[in-house]
Amino acid sequence: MTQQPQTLLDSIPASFDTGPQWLRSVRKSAAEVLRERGLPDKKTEEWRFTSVRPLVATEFARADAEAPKLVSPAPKGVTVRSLRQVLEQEPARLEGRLALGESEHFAALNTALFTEGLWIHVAAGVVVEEPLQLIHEPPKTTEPGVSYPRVLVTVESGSEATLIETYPGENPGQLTNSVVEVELGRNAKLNHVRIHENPGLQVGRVEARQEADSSYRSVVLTLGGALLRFDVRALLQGQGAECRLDGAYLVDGNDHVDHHTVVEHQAPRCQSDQTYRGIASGRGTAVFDGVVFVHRGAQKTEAHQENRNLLLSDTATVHTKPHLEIDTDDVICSHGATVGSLDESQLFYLRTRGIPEELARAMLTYAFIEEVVDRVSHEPTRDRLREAVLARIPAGEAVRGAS
Amino acid sequence: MSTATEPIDEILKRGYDAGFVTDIEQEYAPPGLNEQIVAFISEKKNEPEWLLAWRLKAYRHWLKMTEPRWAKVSYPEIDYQDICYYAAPKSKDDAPKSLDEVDPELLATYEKLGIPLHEREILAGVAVDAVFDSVSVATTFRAKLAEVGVIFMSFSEAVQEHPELVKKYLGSVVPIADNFFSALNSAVFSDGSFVYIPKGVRCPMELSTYFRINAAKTGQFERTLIVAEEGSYVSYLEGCTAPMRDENQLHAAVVELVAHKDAQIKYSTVQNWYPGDENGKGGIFNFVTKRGLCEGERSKISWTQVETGSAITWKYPSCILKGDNSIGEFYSVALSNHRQQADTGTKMIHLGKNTRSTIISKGISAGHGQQTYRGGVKIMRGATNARNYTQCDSLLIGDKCGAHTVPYVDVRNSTSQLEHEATTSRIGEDQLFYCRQRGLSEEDAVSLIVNGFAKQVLKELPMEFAVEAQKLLGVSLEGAVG
Amino acid sequence: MLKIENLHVEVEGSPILKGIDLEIQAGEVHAIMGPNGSGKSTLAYVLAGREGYEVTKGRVTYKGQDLLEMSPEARAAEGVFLGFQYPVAIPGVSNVYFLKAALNALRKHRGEDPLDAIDFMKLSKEKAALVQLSDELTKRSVNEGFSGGEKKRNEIYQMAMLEPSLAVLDETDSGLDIDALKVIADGLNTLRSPERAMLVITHYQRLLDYIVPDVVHVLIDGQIVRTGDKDLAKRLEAEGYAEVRNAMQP
Repeated sequence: MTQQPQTLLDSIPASFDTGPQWLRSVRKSAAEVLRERGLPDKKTEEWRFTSVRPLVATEFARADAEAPKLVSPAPKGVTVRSLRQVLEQEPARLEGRLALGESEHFAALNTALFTEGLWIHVAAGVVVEEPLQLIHEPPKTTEPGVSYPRVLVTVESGSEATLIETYPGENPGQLTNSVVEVELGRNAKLNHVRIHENPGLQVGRVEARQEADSSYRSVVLTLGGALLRFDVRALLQGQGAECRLDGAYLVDGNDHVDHHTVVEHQAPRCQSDQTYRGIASGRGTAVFDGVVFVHRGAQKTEAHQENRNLLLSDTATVHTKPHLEIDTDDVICSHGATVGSLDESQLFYLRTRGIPEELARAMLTYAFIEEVVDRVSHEPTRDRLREAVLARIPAGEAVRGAS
Repeated sequence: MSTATEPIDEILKRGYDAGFVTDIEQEYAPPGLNEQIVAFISEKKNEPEWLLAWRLKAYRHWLKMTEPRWAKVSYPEIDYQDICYYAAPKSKDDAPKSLDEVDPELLATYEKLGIPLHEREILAGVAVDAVFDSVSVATTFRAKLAEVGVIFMSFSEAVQEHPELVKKYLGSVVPIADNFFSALNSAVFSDGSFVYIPKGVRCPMELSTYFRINAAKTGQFERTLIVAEEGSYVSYLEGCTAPMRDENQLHAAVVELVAHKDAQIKYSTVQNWYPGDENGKGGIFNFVTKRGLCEGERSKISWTQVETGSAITWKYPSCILKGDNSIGEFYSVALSNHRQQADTGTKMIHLGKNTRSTIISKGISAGHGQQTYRGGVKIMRGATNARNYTQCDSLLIGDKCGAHTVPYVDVRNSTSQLEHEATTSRIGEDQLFYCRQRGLSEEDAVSLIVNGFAKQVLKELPMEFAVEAQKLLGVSLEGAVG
Repeated sequence: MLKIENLHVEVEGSPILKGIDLEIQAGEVHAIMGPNGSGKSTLAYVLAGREGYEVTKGRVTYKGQDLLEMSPEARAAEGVFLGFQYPVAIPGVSNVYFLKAALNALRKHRGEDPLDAIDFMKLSKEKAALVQLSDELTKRSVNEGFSGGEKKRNEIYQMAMLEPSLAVLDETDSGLDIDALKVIADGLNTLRSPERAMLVITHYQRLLDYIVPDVVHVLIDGQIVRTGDKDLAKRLEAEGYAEVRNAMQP
C-alpha cells in the first residue's frame, strides 16, 4: 500500500469506514484528539526538551511494513497472530484491548493509523523459558517514510514470559511510531527487553496494565538516535503488583534521546523501582523524565526511582526531571538524580594499579551502565548488548580485551 | 491505623492569631486597573517622570501577558478589575515624621503582632520597616544605620532620596516582562523596603520588614530591593500577616537582590499570610517573584523561608550565579494544611566558574493540603566545576493531602557535579508512639517531630526568628511547641 | 500495682497472647523469659498502649485503674515506662529537648511547675552519669546515630529522669557486650525502690545475674507456663526452653 507522501496530521483520514465498530470509534476519538491538540511543541510540558518540529512539516510516505517478525517459532502455550487477521476474523476478542485512543499525540496517531501488528498471547499457567524475540525491520526505502508497528502482549494469570524487541538501525529519514500494549493477569510475569540500535527517527510507547500480584520488568537500551522519544508506562491496577523499569542510553554526535517513564500506583501494596543511566558525549542531548503517581487509596506503596548521568563533553547536554506526585500518606517514596563526570578518585585508583588512563576511563564508563545491561537475564542478548555498548564507548575495545 | 489519624485531625484545626482587623481610616484608589490608576499611584508617591514611564511600560507589557497556569495550584479566576491597587492609612499631613506621629492604632496593631515599633522595646539588634497595606508606616533605627552608611528605608522614600540607586538597580534582576505577576507588580507596586550596604560594611543589625495587609479587597504589591556592595554583609528578614477575611486577597511582590564581589546577603522569610479557613474560604493568594543576582566573584546569596500561610503560594526564590566562585543557597520549610496549596521551590542558574548551590527543601502536607516542590538547576556551558546539591523531603500527615516533587535539571558542562535526592513518607507511627510513651500528647508529639523534620532549615534562620518560626509550625498544626 | 487477668491479644487476627495472669506489687522485680516469638514484646506493647494490638479478652488493672482504657501518654503520666527493645530515632529533635518536654508534661499532670532549664540540666547531668551517658549524647538528636549500646543506655537515662512507678524493660540487654550490660544493670539496680515495680523482659538469663528478680515467669507460645524464683532462670539457662516446652506436652 503506497500513498502520496503527506504530513503526519494530514495523513489522518476524515472518517474511518473499515474494521469493527469499536475500533472505528477508538480511531475516531484518537483522530479527534489529534486534530484538536495537533502535535506537541515546546510548550507541551511532556515535550519540553524534545522538539518534533522536524517531524511536523515533513511529508512522509506511508511505508507500511509487514507485521514484526518473531525470530523463532512460538513455543507451546504461546499464540502469535497477525493483528490484521484477528481484527478480520474475531474482532470481538480484541475489543477494549487496543486502547490509547485518548492518549497524547503519537500514541493516538498510531491508534488512528496502524494497519498491522502482532498479538502475542500467553495462555494461563504457562511458564515460557525461551524468550520471544521480535525484530522490527525498518522499511527499505530511502524516501522519508513512516510506519506504525503495533503489538499487543497478553500474559494470562500465573504465566511467565520474556519478550525481547529489537529496533535495528534505520535510514535517517524513516520514522517509526510504535505502540506496545502489555496486559498482565493475576500473578503473571513479563520480562520485557527493548533495544534501540541507533534508529533514525523513533517515537515509541509501551503501556503495561497490571492486575494483582503481577510483575512487569522492563529493560530499555538505547544506543543513540537522531531523534528518539520512548515512553514506558506501568499501570499498577491490582493490589500487590510490582514493576521494575530500567534503562540505559548513550548519546553522541548530534543524537537526541528522550526517555519518559510513568508509574501509576492505583492500588494498595504495590511496588515500583526504576534505575535509568545515561552517558552523553559529543553534541548529544539526553533527556530523562520519570514520574511516579501514587493515587488516593494506594496505601502501603513503595516507589523508588533513580536517574544517573555521565556528561563526558562540554557540548553535550543532560536534562533530567524525576518527579513524584503523591496523594496518599502511607507511602515510602524516593527519587534521586545525578549528573557529573567520571569520579577522579576512582580514575586515579585504577591508574595507580597500572591501568592506562584511556582504559581506566573506558572501564569506568562501561561500569556506569553495566548494572542495567546485567538486568537482561537472557545471556546471548546480554552479551550482544555488552558488545554494542562497548563499541560506542571510546576505547571500549580495550575493555573487551582486558576482561 | 484508623484511630491514629483522628486526634491528628483535631490537632490540625488551625488557629490563626494574626487574623484581626485594624479599624483605621484609610484612603483607597478606586478598584480596577488602567493607566490612570498607575498614574494615580505614581502621583500619590510624588514619583519622578522616569518611574511613571517605567510603570506604564510594565503595565502595557502586562496587558499582553497571560496568567501562568503551570503550577500545581487551582484557584478561581482573579478579576483584576475588582481589586483595589492602593490603600493607605489616612494621616493628617503626609507621612509621619517620627514614630511619635504614627497613629497609635497602628502601633498597637504591630504590638499585637509581636512587632513593637518603639526602638527601646524592640528586639535588640533588629531594625524594622513596617509596611501597612500600600505604605511603609515606620522604619526604626534609620539614624543609627545611617552612621555606618547603611541605607534602610521604605521604597517610596528611597525613590525620593536616592533616585540614582533606585534607577540603576530597579528591574535589573527581575526585568519588567519577566512574568505575569512581576509585570503587574512593576506597574502598581506601592511600597516596600530599600536596603543599600556600602562597600566593606557589615550591617550591624538584622534588618527586617513586616508586611501587613489590612484593607479589604486590596492587593499588596510591594517591591524590595537590596544592594550589597563589594565586601559587605547583610541579614534581612521579612514577616507577613493579614486579617481573616472571607474573600481572597492578592499579594504579588517582587524582591530583587544584588550582591557584588565578596558580598553576602542572607534573606529570610517567615510567611504567615492568612491561609483561609479549614474549608478553604478566604486567604491570601501569594504570587511572588524573588531573585538574587550574585554579580561579583565570591558573592553569596542565601534564601531561607518558612512558609506556613497563604491559601495559594506561588514562589521560587532564585539565584543567578554569575560571579566566579559565587554561592547560592535555598532553605525552605513549607507547610500546607486544610485546603492550602503551595507550589514553591527555587531556581539556581550557574553561569560562573566554581559556582556552588545548595537546596534543602522540607515540605509538610496535612489535611487536604497540597504541596509541590518545583525547582530548577541549570548549569550552563561556562560554569566549569559547578556544584549543586539538592535534597527535598516531604512529610505527609493524613491520607487526603498531597506531596509533589518536580525538579528540573539541565546540565551542559562536563566538569560539573549535580546531585538531587528526594524522599516522601508519612509521619512515623513508631516515632509518635515513642513520644507518647514518654508522656507527650499526640499534638505535642506531632509538633515535635515536624520541628525535628524542619530543623535543617530552621537552624539557618537568625536566632530571634528561629523560635518564632518553630512556634508558627506548631500553631499551624495547632499544637504548642514547648 | 499491676494486675493482668486472663489477657488475650491478637495481632492482625492471629492470637499472640493466650491468657496471661500476672500480678506485680510495688517494690518487686519480675522477669519474663521466653524464646523468640513467645509474645514477650507484645505484652510490653500492650501494657504501653501501642496500636495494632487487639485485646480480645481479659483485663489489666494498674493502680486500681483500667489500664487498657488509657492513651499511651496517659499511661506515661501515671508512671508507666517502656524501655524499648528498638528505641526509635527522631531526627532533628535533641535528646534533652525531647526529655524536657516529656518531663514537663508529666510534671504538669502531677500538678507541679515545669522545671526551668538550669534545674533540668542539673538533673540531667546527674542521671546521665548513672549510665555513663556522655553530655554530647544527651544533646544529639534522639537516638540518631547512636550505637546499639548507646540507645539502651539512653533508655535507662530517660527512665531515671522520668522516675516511673512501673518500668517495663523490653530486652534491654539485647545487643550489649558484658561491660555495657554491667553499666545498665548498675543503673537499674540504683533505680530499684520500694515504690517502684519493674518487669524485665529478656531472652537470656545473663541480665538476671546482675538484676536479681523476685519472681521469674516463663512465657511460651503466649502463655505463662512456669513461675518461680531466680533459680528458675538458672535452670532455664542450663536446660533450655526446649525442656520446659517438652515438659508441657501431655
